[in-house]
Amino acid sequence: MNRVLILIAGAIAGSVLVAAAFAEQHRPYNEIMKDVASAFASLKKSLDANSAAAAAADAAKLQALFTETEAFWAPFETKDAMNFAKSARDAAAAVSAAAKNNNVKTAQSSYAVIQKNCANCHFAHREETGKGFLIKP
Amino acid sequence: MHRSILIVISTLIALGTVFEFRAQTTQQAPAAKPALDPAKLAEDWMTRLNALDDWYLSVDGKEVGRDEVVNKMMELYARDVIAEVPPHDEEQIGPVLLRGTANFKKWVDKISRTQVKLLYIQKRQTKKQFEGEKLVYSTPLPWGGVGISFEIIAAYSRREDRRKFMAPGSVFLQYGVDGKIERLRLYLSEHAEVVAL
Repeated sequence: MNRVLILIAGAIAGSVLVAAAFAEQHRPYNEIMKDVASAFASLKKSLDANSAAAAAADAAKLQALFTETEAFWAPFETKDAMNFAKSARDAAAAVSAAAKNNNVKTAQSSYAVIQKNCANCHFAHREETGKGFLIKP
Repeated sequence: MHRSILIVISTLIALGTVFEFRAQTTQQAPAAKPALDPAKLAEDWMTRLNALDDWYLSVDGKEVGRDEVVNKMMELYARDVIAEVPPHDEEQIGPVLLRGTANFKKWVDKISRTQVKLLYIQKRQTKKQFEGEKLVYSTPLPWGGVGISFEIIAAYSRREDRRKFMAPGSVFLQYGVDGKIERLRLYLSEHAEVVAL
């Protein structure tokens, strides 16, 4: 009986560890950035079309993507990149909140904050090579 | 009889000439080693130092090329190098003396991890018709090798926040006969932050 209990406990602990390891793995950064680009373009369309519900959904998607972005930079202690991601995430949350309240004007101004953070981060950490981009730590 | 003696003597003379020539060439061989050129040594040291930030992150978050730039810098040093470097820790007061490549590598490694946009430059001087000369002072060392020194301006950004700093300074390097750096002194005076007006 005790042996069975130990086996079950071991199996549970193993699954938890495997799940934690998967959770710590990040998606490739270029995939995250491509998703940000498409969600950001979609947000712009939604705001221009005064479609608050669609804008709120896009902004929520961006919030999650900027959380992933921040997690990518965290191990390297590159504080400015982490701060850009954090500010962009906060601005996306503000867009989402404003859109839910049908306040498209406020959503537009928070949208500009996201754009500014993206540009600043790209300026500091993205290097154009002619064949693609390099991530500068 | 006379002819035989002449033949023996001329053979001996010919053999003697050959042996003399061979002896000379073997003596000359070590002298072919190129002399250390102070200007090139200074340039090479600066190039490798400035390359310490030439590495990237892969899309899956791995460091790409950092070990290579650190090792390239470390190639210059003798195993028992003695290096006096500026404090590289906020709690450290005064210069740090590092002995051996293992300790010195930690310092090089730290630069590669903490500094970006490295732009250490050699100061230039203009006088009379000579414009923008990079001056490298050199002296042969009594125990062999050469010692060089030159003025620099260190410019770099901190990786963590991209704040930019500059500091004037000087470098003193002692090279052994094998061309490896046995002693390094790097002096950097007050670091001033570069801010947009």
